[in-house]
Amino acid sequence: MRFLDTKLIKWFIIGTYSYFCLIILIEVIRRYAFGASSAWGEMTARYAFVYLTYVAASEAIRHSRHIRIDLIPNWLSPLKARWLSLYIDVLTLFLACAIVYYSLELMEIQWSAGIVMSAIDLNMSFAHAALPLGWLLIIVRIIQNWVDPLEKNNDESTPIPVKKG
Amino acid sequence: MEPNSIIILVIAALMLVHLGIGVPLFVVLGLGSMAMILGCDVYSITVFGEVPFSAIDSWALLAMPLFILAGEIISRGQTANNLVRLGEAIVGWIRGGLGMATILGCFFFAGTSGSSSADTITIGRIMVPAMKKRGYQASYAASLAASGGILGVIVPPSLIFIIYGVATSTSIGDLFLGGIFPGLILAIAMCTANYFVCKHTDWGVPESGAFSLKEVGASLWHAKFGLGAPVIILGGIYSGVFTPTEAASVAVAYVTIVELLIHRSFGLTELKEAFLRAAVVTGVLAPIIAFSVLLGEVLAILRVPSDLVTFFFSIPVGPVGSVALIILVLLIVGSILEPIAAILVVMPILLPIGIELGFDSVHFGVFVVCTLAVGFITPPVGINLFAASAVSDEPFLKIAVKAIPAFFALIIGIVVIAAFPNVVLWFR
Repeated sequence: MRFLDTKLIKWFIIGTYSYFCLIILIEVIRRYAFGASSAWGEMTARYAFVYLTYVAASEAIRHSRHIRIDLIPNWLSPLKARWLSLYIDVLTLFLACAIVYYSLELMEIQWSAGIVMSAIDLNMSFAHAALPLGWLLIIVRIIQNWVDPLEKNNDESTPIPVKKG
Repeated sequence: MEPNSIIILVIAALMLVHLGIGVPLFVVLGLGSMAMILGCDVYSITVFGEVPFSAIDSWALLAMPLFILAGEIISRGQTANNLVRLGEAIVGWIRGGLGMATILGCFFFAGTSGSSSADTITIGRIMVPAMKKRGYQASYAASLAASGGILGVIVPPSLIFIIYGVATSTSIGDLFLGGIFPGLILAIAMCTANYFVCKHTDWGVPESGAFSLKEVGASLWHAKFGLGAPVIILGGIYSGVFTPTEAASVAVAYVTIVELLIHRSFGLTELKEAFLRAAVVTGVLAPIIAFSVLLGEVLAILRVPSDLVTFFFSIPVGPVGSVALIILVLLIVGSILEPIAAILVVMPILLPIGIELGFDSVHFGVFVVCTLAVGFITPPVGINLFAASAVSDEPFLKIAVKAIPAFFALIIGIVVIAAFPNVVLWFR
């Protein structure tokens, strides 16, 4: 599963991020320079953002970056902290499984009812796939953290790299 | 007590326990709403397939990842140095001037960056070594960067205002404009506290004794690109040229051009790094937003906010006492929870109370954000203290103790902001 730590996810993130940065900018320029704008630009930007969100959330799982109060885990003995960490991961997995299940159910309804996006003639389930895909990735990353843990990287504890001097 | 009330109380208590033992906030909010939906038999459980999508699928919220990215990019460039030099030119000649320049540097830098820890790290890594050289105690110097960093979420553009705006359907543009003077008031309050600290110690004796208009002019010229960003962002929003989300994408383009092409601060590899780091911050915040939206809806259906409002006003403290009580609650919440996350947790309950007390929603939002932001410098979870500790190698608690004068200065500033709505609503 190491390939997830390398290029694939990173380029997906950079791709979706750059996409909505550029498309919004282009829409602004188009509006002022050419007096034109499109409905699909704004819509696809929003969908790209949803995709980015949950894929990035899975990255945050991999690097233990999610917001939590970690005072008690830090006080516990390593063994107890591991049991607690297992309990926390089981809870997260439960939530993730529920979201994957119910979002797939909704996608099926969208597909069979033929619901299309507002600005493009494409089935809505393609946008909604962001949920099951993102949360499946979260499930994979939680398991990956147990099977193949990352070495602790101090740099990850600060929002931007700290260069001194 | 109704059976639903007992279930809600038990679930709320379980949520607090789970938050306390280290379960990530988004999981606590997600499973908490699930438990309420199932336990109180409201809503359909199928919303779990829908709300995590629809809550994020928001045009206004798109401003969040864009401003995070702009902040990541500019933090890696030279703009901060130029802004700090401007701060030094303005106040460097006063006793404690370098400390004040740190706070002013944070204020100017906050005009592009929307996050407080980024502010602390970027300004701190320039100013902490400089202050140490000028005889400041290292932990005090670090505490100035930590407390100045608070301005990152108050001076527009601010992530926390975007999230408050989305969560409460308040105009983000109005919140941005409303944050300008409160940011200035808090900056002045912290500068004043620093002046008195330096007066009673031997820190902060200025090197040059005189104010030089020429130097201010020269440093203004150097800082033109850094000061240009807030002018474009706020000017664009206020004049109606673009929405906050569009302004955010323009800000990304602007800082990328300035740092990559004009300052040549870094190359494409570093830009890629900025994207990845910004993405992880987005990935941390967005699920919390999604589930707090869901929890807020479930609580509203169960009429919890209105019951809490009734309960709150049954406490015989009067309007001033009520505001004092809100400040106290926010300080406690802000000290244990990341303020950006905290705003999502407390707003569904606090906003109805604020409205009932006669606050305008923009004024109340700015007041709440300022108060929660104090949590950035109070233990146990003071993010800016960790950030300042990382740049200075000083222990977290030592910095927290040295931040006490700034803490009281901030409280005074917050009381002023709460008492004078015009400070926030000047543009109306």
